[in-house]
Amino acid sequence: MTTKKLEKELGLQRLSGNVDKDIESCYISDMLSRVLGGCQSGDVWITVQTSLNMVAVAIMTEAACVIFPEGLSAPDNVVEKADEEGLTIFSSKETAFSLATKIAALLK
Amino acid sequence: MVNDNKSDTLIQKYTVCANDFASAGAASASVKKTLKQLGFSPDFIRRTSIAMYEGEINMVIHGGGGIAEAEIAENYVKITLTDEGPGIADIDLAMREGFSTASESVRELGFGAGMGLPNIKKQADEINLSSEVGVGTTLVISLFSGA
Ligand SMILES: Nc1ncnc2c1ncn2[C@@H]1O[C@H](COP(=O)(O)OP(=O)(O)OP(=O)(O)O)[C@@H](O)[C@H]1O
Ligand SMILES: [Mg+2]
Repeated sequence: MTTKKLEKELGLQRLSGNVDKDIESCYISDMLSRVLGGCQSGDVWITVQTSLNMVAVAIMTEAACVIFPEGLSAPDNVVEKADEEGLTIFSSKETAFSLATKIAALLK
Repeated sequence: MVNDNKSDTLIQKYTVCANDFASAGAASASVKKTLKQLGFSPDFIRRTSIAMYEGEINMVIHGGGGIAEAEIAENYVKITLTDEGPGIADIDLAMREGFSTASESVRELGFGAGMGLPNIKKQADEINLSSEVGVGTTLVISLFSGA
């Protein structure tokens, strides 16, 4: 599975980034230090954390991409920063649970 | 950033500002880029940048800002984070998973799980945390790259 394939399969809205990356697994948390400890390289990170620090954490952990659930969007400066760093951020109307179950099925 | 090249080690020095969440992490991001350019392994780079980022953010949130210095050699990286903030009264307690004195506003930004210092310990090969209340805190994080 790759981020571009995931975008199509889940009907995600792309907010930033355009590099296609391989997806290994999925991680969900909004506490950044938990993410820094738990999110693995190649994970899809689902979070409601839409601040600039989210971009830094996604870069440090080498997450494959970030998905905001429940239709959340990001401020312009966050999108700009993510583009600069080559980080793909998607938004989806679905809940984190729904996204995670679908990602799990796609990774089978 | 200041580059101070000795023959075999590269020193990068950064000023980290207190409570500046927009530029927080810039020092770690810069060191990460350097390590990439120098060809360190992806896992080593990831561990180093996560540990440094946690320490850098702690200086932003708790330490009143400070200085981050990265000493990069062929087979190790040593990160020294020095601040003149309030200091840590009980280091054993601070190192415990879940212990945090972060304010409500900082928690809203996603920090304050009390996982930063434990995570630094997990990622690094060696850490040395020394602190004096009212004087400041110094955290030294070392990672050795294989071989
Ligand atoms: N540089 C520092 N100066 C003063 N106190 C510090 C410093 N670094 C850490 N501390 C103290 O140690 C506690 C634990 O730090 P730790 O990084 O583990 O958690 P946190 O920063 O509170 O939350 P998290 O890292 O999960 O976002 C902090 O809440 C703070 O009280
Ligand atoms: Mg911390």
